[in-house]
Amino acid sequence: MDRLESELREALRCYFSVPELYGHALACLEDKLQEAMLFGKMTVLHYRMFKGEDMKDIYKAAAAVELMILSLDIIDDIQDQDNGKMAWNQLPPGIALNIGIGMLSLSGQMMLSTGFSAERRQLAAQLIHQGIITAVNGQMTDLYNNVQTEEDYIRMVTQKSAALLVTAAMIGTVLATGEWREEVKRYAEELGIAAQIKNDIRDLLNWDDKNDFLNRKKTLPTLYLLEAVAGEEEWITDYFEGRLDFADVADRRQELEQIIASTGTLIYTSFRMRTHYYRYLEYVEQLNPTPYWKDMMLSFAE
Amino acid sequence: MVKEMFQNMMSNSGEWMNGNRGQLQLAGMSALEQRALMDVLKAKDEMTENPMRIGLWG
Repeated sequence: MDRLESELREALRCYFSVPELYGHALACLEDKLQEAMLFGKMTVLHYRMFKGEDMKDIYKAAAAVELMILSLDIIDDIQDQDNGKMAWNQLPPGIALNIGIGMLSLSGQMMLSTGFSAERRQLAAQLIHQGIITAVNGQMTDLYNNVQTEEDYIRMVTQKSAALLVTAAMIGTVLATGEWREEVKRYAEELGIAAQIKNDIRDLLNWDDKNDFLNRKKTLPTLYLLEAVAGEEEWITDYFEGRLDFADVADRRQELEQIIASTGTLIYTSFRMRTHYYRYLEYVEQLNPTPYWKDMMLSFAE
Repeated sequence: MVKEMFQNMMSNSGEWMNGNRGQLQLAGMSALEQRALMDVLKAKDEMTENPMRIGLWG
């Protein structure tokens, strides 16, 4: 994905003319480039799968998608006050926010400045903006921690996270075909939900970094755990509802891990994750892809 | 409904988790859900050193 990287660097160089903005944005990008850039790859994969033939502008479009994701990551980390190791968290929040806003706008501008037909680049830009608006709605639910049931959680995750994967896949699709494909939305959404549940399982077990239990975040694993321990292990409910402080639970990691195991929290949430993942596989199959593209779609999800 | 069934299974001393799955009641689960559950339980059986690692697919 060297071409994707060079498009990202070129975009910052062209549009971020104030030296401090350019310098800090570049540092944020360097952190981003250590990751797999799965969203941009999703865009390119779908473009190719639906027989798109351009060899250059699709990477600019994919870079626009990745910039959208990076900007939302920056803004999300400011809101959640976590992921302290990232470059944007080494900056004052106001500075980091300005970079996030700049990148968000730049992603739309990049999409509109690709060499695709006016109609298709307009469609793609619309998808970027629509994806952002959907994610912002989901993020509001997350910020208010306004999740009471598993249905609430799935709805929130579908908006906040899965919608972005749908956006990435659909942009590649419309740039190749000129049209929205509902079947693409269906499987991309399932994969997005599965991936978020996977992240949330990790964030329950990872005591040393951001931990959803310690942060009292309502996710699928914590919702199940709270329901499973209701009436017993009151310290868990007491902590989640604010009657105990961090100091009261900080040394109870092992105990929590045992309760997670004995209540079946991990098994249940892994089962839910796999259900969505297997649904993704089923929907991909319904597309009747050639063996090559089927392999690409399956290996993408690994 | 699946969660309630799951919670009932856990309350039966979790025997089914430790291999006694002959009586596993899967009524009400789709074929896809049954496959997901069986695969998770199989992964649990295989993860003897670090049981927490069943939280992954593939």
